[in-house]
Amino acid sequence: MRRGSRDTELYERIIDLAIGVAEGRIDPFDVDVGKFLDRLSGLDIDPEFTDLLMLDVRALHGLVTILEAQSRRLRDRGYGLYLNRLLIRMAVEKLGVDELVNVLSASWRPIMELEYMDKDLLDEAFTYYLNLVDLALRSRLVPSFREVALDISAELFNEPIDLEVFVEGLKRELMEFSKGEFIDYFDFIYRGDSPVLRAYAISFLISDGWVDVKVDRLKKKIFIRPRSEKLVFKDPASVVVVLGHGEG
Amino acid sequence: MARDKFVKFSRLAYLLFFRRHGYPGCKDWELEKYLGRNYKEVIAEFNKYIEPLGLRVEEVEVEFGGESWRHYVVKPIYGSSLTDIKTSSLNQIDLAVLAVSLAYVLSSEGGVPKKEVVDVLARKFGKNRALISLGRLIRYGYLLERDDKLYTGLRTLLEIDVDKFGALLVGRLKASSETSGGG
Repeated sequence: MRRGSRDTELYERIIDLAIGVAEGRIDPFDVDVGKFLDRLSGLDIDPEFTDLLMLDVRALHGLVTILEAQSRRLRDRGYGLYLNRLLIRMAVEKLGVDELVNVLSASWRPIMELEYMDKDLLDEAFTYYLNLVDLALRSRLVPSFREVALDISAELFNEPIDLEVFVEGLKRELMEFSKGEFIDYFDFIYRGDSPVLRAYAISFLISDGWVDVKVDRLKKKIFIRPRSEKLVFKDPASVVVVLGHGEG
Repeated sequence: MARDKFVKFSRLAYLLFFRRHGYPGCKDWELEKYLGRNYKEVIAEFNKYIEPLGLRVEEVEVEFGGESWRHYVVKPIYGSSLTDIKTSSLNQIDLAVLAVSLAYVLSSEGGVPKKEVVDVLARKFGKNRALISLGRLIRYGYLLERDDKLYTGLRTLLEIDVDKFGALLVGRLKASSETSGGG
């Protein structure tokens, strides 16, 4: 029983060759399949080493792929269909569009196929159309990305605030409002006048370990709870929260 | 017609006639699923009904994407006798682009760089026209694009006799060379 790195190298070499042949980088006839098969059959693998067994199977499959490419090439050459790129380039240059289309149509095997519009799909499309707001009106109803970005930046940065004081105040407010229990994140964010600023500030409390976060993915809810002691993170994670424009 | 037979025929007609995927017809496992294990018998019986209409269900052996299966499509028996009726959404330039692309794909073992094909096509049709046609052919499944390389699409394997295409292309080229050499 052997489990040497030389065996692994042989497997990887065969797999690389097979990939090279499949990608057209290596001529399939440059690979001596017989020699590699002999070497593979000479290996004795302990069935307990499943990683080596897997490599063995992949290498064998690779050799089959190379053999298949060789057989295809032989068949094409036998039929006189072996096309090299120069020949193709010449054909494209010399034969006109009409001639190329004639060649294609002579080898075409027409297939019948119908397109069918389902009544349910039509109803769905009609309902969608009826519910669709006019394009001109839509552009007024839905704020542009620029408008949203300006609103947020105005809320965050245009009014000079002492962020440290604001964060400290928010921490106290959370402690009083939640009474140390988990509460809905959005309920708390939208309590105040500037939800974006509150969300921005609370992200510091969470990052610093002063607030616990619990996400209920089934109910799509986020809960927060203040901590009396700062938590030191071992494996921090991030949560993306989307605040609706115009809410609050 | 017995009720059971009617149900199987209508299922088969829906599966074979209507476009449901990016490729025409259906695979053997689909027929087995909807018609049962004796689906070949159902097809043989179904053919008796559609052959008077000039149509026939045919089996095509397909090897594609590392898998092989039997594919079933409906083909006209006599070809189209209505030459003035446009039966495909591809135009002549699309077909020429397909012919050139297919020739290039067949000349390579593992796909051909799309840029190489576009460069050749651009000389004949202009880059934009070539790209539009190539995009349409990829969308219809005649060509497969992966990692900026073009490969034969499943629809091509079903609709085109690829061996015959290669032989004809080389034959026409030889004939063309002999004519120009003799002249």
